[in-house]
Amino acid sequence: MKIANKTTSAVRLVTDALEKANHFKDRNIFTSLSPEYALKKAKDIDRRIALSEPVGRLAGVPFAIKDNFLHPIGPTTASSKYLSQFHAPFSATVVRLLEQSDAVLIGRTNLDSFAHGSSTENSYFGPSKNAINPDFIPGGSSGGSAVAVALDIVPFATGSDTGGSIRQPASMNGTFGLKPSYGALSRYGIVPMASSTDCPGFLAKTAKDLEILLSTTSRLDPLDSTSSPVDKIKTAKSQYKIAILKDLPKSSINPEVLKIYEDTIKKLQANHEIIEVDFPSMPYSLAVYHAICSSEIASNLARFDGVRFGHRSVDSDTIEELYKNSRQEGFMPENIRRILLGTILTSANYYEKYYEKAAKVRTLIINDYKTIFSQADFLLTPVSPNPPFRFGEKTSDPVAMYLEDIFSTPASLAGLPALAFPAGEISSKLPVGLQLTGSFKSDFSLIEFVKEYLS
Amino acid sequence: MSLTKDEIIHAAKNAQIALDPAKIDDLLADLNSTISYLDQLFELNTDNVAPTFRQTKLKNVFRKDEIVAENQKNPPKLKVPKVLP
Repeated sequence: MKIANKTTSAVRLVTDALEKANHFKDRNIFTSLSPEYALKKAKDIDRRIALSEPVGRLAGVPFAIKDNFLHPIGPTTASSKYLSQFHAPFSATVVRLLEQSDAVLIGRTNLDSFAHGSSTENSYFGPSKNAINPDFIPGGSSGGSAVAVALDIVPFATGSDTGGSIRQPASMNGTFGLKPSYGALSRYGIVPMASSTDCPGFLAKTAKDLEILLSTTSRLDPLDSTSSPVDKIKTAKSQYKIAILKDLPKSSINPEVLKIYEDTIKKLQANHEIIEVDFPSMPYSLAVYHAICSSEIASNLARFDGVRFGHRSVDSDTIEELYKNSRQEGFMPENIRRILLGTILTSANYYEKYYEKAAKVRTLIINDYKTIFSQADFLLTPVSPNPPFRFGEKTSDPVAMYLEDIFSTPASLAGLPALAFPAGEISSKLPVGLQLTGSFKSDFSLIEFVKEYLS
Repeated sequence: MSLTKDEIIHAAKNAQIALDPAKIDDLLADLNSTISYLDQLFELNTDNVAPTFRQTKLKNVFRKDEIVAENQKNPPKLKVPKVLP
């Protein structure tokens, strides 16, 4: 708006964003910046505005992409050694649509290598640092994107969410984060993790911005066979039914997080009906997630073989050694843990026992959600049981790290839209977000509710 | 159910990943702690429950196999070095 009215310019906005990005270099937010590319785009937008030529809805708005979104400018590294020199020949559909709307890409943000993690500590380029207190983790895997938005470097950044990777860092840095319904945004051009739950989405300053971004990018994409765009139908009501969990595992939630959750319920009670619901399969969702997700990871990451693209080991005499050494050298320990777990769980002795069992429990989770959404509009839970923790606190215990995703994985397994919104801060000033989940494809209603009552 | 060292070595062979022999014990401990976490799934009765492998009800989604302008103009350049001596 301000650009169209000429009170500012695209070049000014992009220059400011790049300066801020350099100012916060010590937070290790970006894997690469593209100043020349960004300024060229911005100049072109300013030129078109000066000539009264049409420009897109996001004209001149600087943005960053999580570095697992493909784009020809700069390497798409997925914060891994394996792809550290990989230049993509094309753009991810989501990035292409944003650029078609004249948003200006300024750089790529750090993540856990191949998005495997909840803290960015698994990045080949080192961890990003929390926006509020750099001694703490920023969450992950979309940690860099969350910090970039929280520190006002860019008003929005893309993220990808397989089990909470947008919502958890959004919560830990005090931004909004949307994991849309599965299929709402095309997965084309995003380094894959677990194909049945991978969802591109956004981290942004406001719920209104999420609405604009979703309506700009939710399009049918012939290049993604699971593409299934969401319609912009909003059921605006004055009173909603909000579900909360009858059996919330209170003892495993940090007391300050619990207090923020309970205060938010009280606040909502003034205008809306609060309904206690059963969700008997919820405590099992993390086990289901890890069984299914690591199996899909093992399959998806088989493509990184040292032959077609990415890292290639230099000291291998046979083709088999070349595969094995390239993968061992290119992956982080967490990538290898997940690939091996997935390989084991899909092998003859374990497939029925674990993988198929998990797929059946996944059906129970989906059915429980159906029951909940037959009684209520949305479900309110914490995003994570704990506030941000210090670096290294959980790296030695993978299961403790996985437990941070206990509230975020169920919506991923069921393909439902879930939105993390800032809800308060604990005594040390670290932010805490809560999560609102809706029924399949209720994305716009969900955003509308958060915009109206929780912003 | 507990994994054995041989199972990890076999899985690494199948997944084509070289393992540092000094790190196999740590890996075994990590994977066993994850698998024992998964054992909670057996508390649930899933008789007569169908597994879910995908979430959309979409079927047979195909596109036409056409060359698009973008690729004609700017064909992806893949440089593949020699693999065998």
